Amino acid sequence: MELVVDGVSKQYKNSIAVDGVSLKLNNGVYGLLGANGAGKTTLMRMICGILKPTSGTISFDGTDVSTEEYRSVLGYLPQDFGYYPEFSGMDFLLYMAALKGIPKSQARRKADELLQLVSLQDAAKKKIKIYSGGMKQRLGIAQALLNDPKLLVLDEPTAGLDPKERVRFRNLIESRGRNSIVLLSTHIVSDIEHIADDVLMMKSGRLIYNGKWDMKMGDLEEFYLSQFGEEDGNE
Amino acid sequence: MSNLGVLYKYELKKLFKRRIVWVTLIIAFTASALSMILNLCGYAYVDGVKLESNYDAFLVDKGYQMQLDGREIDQTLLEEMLNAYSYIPDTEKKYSTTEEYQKYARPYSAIFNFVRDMTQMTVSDTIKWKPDTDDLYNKRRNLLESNWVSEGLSEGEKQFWLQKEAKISTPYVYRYTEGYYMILISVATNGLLTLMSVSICLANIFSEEHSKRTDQLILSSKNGKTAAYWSKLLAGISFSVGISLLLLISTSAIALAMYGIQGFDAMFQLIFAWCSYPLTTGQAVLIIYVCVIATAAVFGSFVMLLSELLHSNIAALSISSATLIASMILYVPDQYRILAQLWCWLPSGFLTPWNIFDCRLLSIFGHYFTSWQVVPIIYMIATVIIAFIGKPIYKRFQVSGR
Repeated sequence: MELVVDGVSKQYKNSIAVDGVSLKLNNGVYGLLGANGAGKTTLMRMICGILKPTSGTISFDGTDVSTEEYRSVLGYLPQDFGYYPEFSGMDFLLYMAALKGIPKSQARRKADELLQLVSLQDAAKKKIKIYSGGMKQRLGIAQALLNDPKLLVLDEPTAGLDPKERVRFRNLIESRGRNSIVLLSTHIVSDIEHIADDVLMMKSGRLIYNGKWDMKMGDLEEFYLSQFGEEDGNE
Repeated sequence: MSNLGVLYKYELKKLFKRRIVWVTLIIAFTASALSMILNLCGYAYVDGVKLESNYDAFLVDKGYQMQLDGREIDQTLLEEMLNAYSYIPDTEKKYSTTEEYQKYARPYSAIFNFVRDMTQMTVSDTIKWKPDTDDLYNKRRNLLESNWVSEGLSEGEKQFWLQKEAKISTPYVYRYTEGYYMILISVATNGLLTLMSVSICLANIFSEEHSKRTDQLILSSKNGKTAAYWSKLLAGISFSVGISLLLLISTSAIALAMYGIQGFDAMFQLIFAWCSYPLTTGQAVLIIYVCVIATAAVFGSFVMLLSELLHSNIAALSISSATLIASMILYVPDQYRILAQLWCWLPSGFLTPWNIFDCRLLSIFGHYFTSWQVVPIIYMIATVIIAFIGKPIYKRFQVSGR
């Protein structure tokens, strides 16, 4: 299993959001760090095929990002996770399962399993509009896992989760990372320290660090702050 | 696995979970029903004096019309009718308020009005008219032919209609057809209500995914770029067709329940004198059904295209509503034949009896086709074309900014 991001750039009229990023990711959990506006979300959107790079290519095991085959192995939780307020949690998952091509016969079983996993089984039949922020986020995580993705992209997945939920999430991601590629972005450096096998750091659209982080190398948070300093502003 | 059926079911669920859809449908069905029911409510007033209730008038007239049902509109009936009308005295009062009208003429008022409709004569001219069967049908033919000239019909089109006219046997046989007449005249109201409902309910079928930011989840999923698109489109089109059909059925049911089901096989010219095609009222109603359904389908796909193109339900609703209003207030003069015909064929303006049963034809390789034959087919083709235009727009959407 290999995700190859080769010389990917995204240029808007007057700015470059992602500037020539190249990556090769194999099984494991990758933590993507960067200040607001560093290009993390743009890179993730391109990896998920919902934003076309200005240049460069993205492929998974040789399959191009624009194909249905690529999308069939993908699980994605966007930063601004959208939902249907009038749907119940179960309905939402069944709809997402249909979108992901999961047969109807398996969809309910899978949805039940995941609702259990994210502790939403009691709220499965309740409308999403009455869910708390943390519940919505857990539902978002559940939908990303529906198709047992080989490539899991999570943009700020721990936002809105309480400390207990965050620990549960870390364990969940750790187990997923054994058999798939998990790329997650967060502002919370401790999440990366606890979950990620490898650290990716972006600054002004460029990848400035790609590799394992060892405590011998010092404190990751201090390194992060030294790199970004005062620049953490608006996205 | 494309899961098209499951996705379709969920698209309909999304649609019917929205409160605006239910509010719109309740208003549309209520307005449609009231437009039929209110015809029999209230009173007829002449010079400020209450004459009778509309319902009583309807019952009386229906009784008289049923007595005439099945009679040929020939010399005998025309003479009977004008003889009855000759009892009406010369008076300052409105003739229908006179006792003589009520006693002698009213039982023949359906024939009197039919003659007026066929000849475009005034009331006084009709009363003075010397009854003559040939003159009656010739007058209609002359009016038809002068209309063909003013509408800019070619010689081929005129020949087409003359051949059709030859198949309409005279004298006509009078039949009670009030229920079908009410369905015919309600087509414009029903058409407008259908298209407005489609416009309001479908304007955000695509745009809501962008405003709710669910587009990211959909477009990054396996079936998100193909099956999801078709499921939305199918849900929108079947919603449009369903609404149009339900409005038609409910209005027809009310009309037939109130006015009676008699006259299904009567000649269409009894309720629409200016149609030269040999049709029964039942066939005409079925043609109206097909036209309304096809119009709803193409308009629905147009609204959905706007929804995806503009990413805004307000913009999609504004533009689709503007096209409806434009067809009501703008008129293309008949001398610009092609433009005028095309204008009448636009979905926003097509649903009127005079446009559906228009005398202007379409010539294809020497064969002539009427509006009601060709426009539904054009709409079906247009629906498919719009669907395929929308597909790449939907597929190529880029999630950026935010």
